[in-house]
This record gives sequence, structure tokens and C-alpha cells, in this order.
Amino acid sequence: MKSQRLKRKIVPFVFLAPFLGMFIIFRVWPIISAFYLSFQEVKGIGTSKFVGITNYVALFGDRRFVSSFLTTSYYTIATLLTLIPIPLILAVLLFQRRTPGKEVFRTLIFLPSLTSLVVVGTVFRLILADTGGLVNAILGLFGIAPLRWLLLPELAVPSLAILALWRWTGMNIVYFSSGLTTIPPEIYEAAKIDGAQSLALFRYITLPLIKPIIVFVVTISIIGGYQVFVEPYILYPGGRTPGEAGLTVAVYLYRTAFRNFNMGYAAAIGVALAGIIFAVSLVQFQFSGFFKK
Amino acid sequence: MHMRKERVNSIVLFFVLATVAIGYLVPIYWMVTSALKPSEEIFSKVELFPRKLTLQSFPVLFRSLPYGKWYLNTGILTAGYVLVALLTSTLGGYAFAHFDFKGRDLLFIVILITQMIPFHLMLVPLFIMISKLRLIDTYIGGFLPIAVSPFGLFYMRQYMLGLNKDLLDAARVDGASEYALFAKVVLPLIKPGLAAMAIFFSMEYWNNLLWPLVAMRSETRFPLTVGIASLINQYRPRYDMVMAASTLATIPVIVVFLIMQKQFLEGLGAMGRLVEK
Repeated sequence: MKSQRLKRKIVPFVFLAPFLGMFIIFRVWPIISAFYLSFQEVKGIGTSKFVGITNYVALFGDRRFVSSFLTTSYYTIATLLTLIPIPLILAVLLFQRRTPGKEVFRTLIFLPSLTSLVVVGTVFRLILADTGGLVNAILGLFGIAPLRWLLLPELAVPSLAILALWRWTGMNIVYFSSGLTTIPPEIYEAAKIDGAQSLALFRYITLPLIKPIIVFVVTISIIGGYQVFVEPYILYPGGRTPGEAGLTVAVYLYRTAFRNFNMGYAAAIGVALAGIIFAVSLVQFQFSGFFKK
Repeated sequence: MHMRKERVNSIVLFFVLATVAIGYLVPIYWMVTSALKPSEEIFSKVELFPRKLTLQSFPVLFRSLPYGKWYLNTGILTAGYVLVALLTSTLGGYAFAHFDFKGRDLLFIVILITQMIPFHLMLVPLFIMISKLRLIDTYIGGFLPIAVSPFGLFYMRQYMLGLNKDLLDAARVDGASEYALFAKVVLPLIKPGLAAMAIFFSMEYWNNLLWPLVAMRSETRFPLTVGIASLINQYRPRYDMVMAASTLATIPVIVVFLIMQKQFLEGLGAMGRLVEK
């Protein structure tokens, strides 16, 4: 009888064991190890020396790190300013009952979200090219001289933001649409009878009711924005970015670890990045009233 | 009068949305036509409808590069990643959804919080780990260390919380062991959830460059992502080949999506479920 009870007590752990084992080996341990490594100078794998907070002190004086942090922040802000309003408006337009062909449009706008980020990067190298590039050709139609998108430092973040806008609009429309379907149509009917105009409906019904999903998209945009790696890595092959303007924190971390083989310093960059994301998320949660709930 | 205004509105809306949709389609079209252009014309002419089309860059992919091997590697790595992540998330999610054990809720929160920690933090330790284990350039090394998903666990737990408890208890009364119950009753009921997560995990691997880039070092071991990245990182990239490689890598995903749109949208939008709770 006792063994029967013991057996039953073990059951949940049998189910949990595979996940927990993987979680401890490939998540918990690497996190602890990253903190440990960030206080070391690593010379090749296996030999390292304790150097205290030297790596962290160096980060603050490292112009490349500071500039990569600023670039990544600008990129994140640019994606928030474009990838929240545009997909939101499109989602609302695609949601109108009378819009003909809306299913097809939604599918077409979603296709970019299926392309691998590596592919997106290669395609935008062509689209943003000086000569033969599509964006410059379109600007030319309006009499605007071609811009050197991939060569001018001040256009690095805008280039990355254009790429992101194309890649993620469809995805964010999916999130916003799922929020829109939860709004009962009767609310709109009632407001219309009271004579409310479309803009008022959007401002006073739609926005407040899908606020949770907006907060969610803002959150994943911030976390994803600060982690951006593939897009700048492909858009600026060989790390040839104009005046390091396209260098993001993640690309700098990769370069430090796997080009300069400075593993301890790279670990410190990783810890700093985690800290930045944590801090920005806290601020954002505070703003959106997340903690009140 | 009112009716007419509404009709005008929907016609305007139709044209606005059509323009936007076509705009979003253009880069994909650009990729395909660039793959079909002779390489010297890619940067010299802007043509919406190129006059000279050629298939010459496609056979080169297979002759001078292990492109077929990249395809195969992508399949193997993705399958391994999806299988392990799905299995661990489903079993673990079931434990959290249907059993009571000490420290359950705290453990669940701790696991979820780690989802916020950027993978980059773990990159160097994981690389050192697989180097020591001699797993660099192996398929296992290419997917196993990243195949643990707190979000997957969360999603499967939510999915299984929706199962009918009475039904499970009835099976227990009938004398089914917990493991048989899971295999024979639970698994068939959660198939849509499994499909959604399988798609979510596949696309996750499809967009991951960082890990395969450090784990898979030799050309014959590359998945498509690392292979295409290596092509564009050459001193003078052959853009017609890069575009051909990108096109062949993209079309299958689009085709599968068009066939299984509902499952894809559920899977890719799965993160949205974090909001409902």
C-alpha cells in the first residue's frame, strides 16, 4: 500500500523530469556560468583567470559597446514607433465587415513573416542598394536623389527599421486581430446608435479594450529589439558597418566572443544586455500599469 | 445617400489595402526576379519585369555548393529541435496542469521568468559546454542545447488546463495507470495544441542564426540559414546565387503555409496566449 502511494507521488516528477533536466543543464547552469565567466579573463577554452569587475569597468569605457547600446536603443524605439501604429491601423481596417478581399490582403501582408530572417537580410541588401536598389528607384520617381542606405552611418538604424517594418507587420496584425475578435460587436452597435463616429469608436472602444494586447506587443518588441542580431549581421556582412553605426549589442557580443575570442568580456556583455532588457521592461511595466493587476 | 457613402468608403478601403498588400509582396517578388537575372544585371538595372531571364544560378548552387546538404541539414536540425522541445514541453506542461506537488507554482514562475533572459547571455557558456563535450559540428550540438522552451511549457500547460478533469478521473477509476492515461486519453485530445507548437518551434529554428552559426562550423554541416549567411559574407558575394538560395529556401515554407494557414496562424500567434491569462 505504501509503495502504491509512493508511486503516485513520483508520477508528476516522471513527467517533469525531461524538461527539468534540460532546463537545469541548458538554462540554469549557463546563466550561472555566464556570471562566473564575466569575472574572468578567458584565454582559450579551459584556462581562465579571475579579474574581478575589470570586464564591467571596461564596458563603460568601451566606445564600441556604448555606441552599440545606443544603436540598439534607437532601433528598438524606431520599431515601437512604426510596428505598433501601422499594424494596429491595418488590423482595424482588415477587420471591417465590408472590406472586400480582406482575407487575401491579410495573407499577403503575412507572407514576409514566413521568410527566414537571414533571407530578409539578403533581400534587403538588394532593395536598399545604391544603384539598382528598389527603394532608391521609388524615391527617384518622386525626384528624390538616391540615398546611400547601407553606407551612411545615419541611415543604418532607418535601414534596419524599414527591414523590421516589412518583416513584422503581418505578425503584429495577427496579435492585434486576435485582440479585436474578443470585443463584442454589440458594443459598437450601441455606440453607433448613440451617433458615435468611426474615430470615436476607435479611440473610446477599440483602444481601451485591446490595451492588454498592445502592452504585450510593446513588451515583446522591446525584448526582441534589444536582442536584434540576424538583421544587422546579414545587412552588414563581414561586420563592415559604416562607422560601426549598424553594430548592435548582440552583434558586438558575437564579434567579441567569436572573432576576438574574448569570452570573459563577451559574457560580461551578455550579462549587461540581460540587465538592460530587465531594466527597460520594469520601466515599461510601471508605465503600462502592469503591477497594478 | 447613406448606403452610397458606405459603398464609396469600402471601395477606397479596398484600393488602400490592395496597395499596401502589393507593397508587402514586392520584396519577395524582387528576390525571385533577382534570382532569375544574370548576375551582372542585378545592380545595374531596375526593372519591374526583367527582359532577360535565366535559370543559370540554380544549378550552380548544387554543383559548386553543398546546397542539397544544407537542405537536408535544415530538415534534420529542425526535426530534432521540434521533437525535443515538444516532448519536454508537453510532458512538463502536463505535470504543471494536472498534478499537485510541493513548490509547483514557484517553480513555474521561475521557469517563466527565464523566458525573458536573452539567449545571448547563455551563448558563451553553451558554446564552451559543447566544445568540451566535442559536440561542435554535430547535429546533436546543433539543436539540443537550445531545445528547452519555457514558453512551450507555458503554452502546453494552458492547453491541458482546458482538458475535462472528470474525463481523466473516469479513466483513473477504470484502472488506467497515469502513463497509459496520458498516452491514450490526453495525447489524442491535445493534437491541435501539439500541431501549433510544432509549427511555432519550426519557425523559431528557421529564424535562429546565432546558435547554428557557432555550433555548425564546416560547410557540409551548415543548415540553409548558416549557408546563405556564409554566401553573403564572402568578399564578393554572387548575389544571383544568394537570391536563388534564398528563393529555394523560402518557397516551400510559403507553400506549406498556404495549405495549412489556420494551424500556422495559431502556431505563430501562440505567444499572444500570454495575454489571456
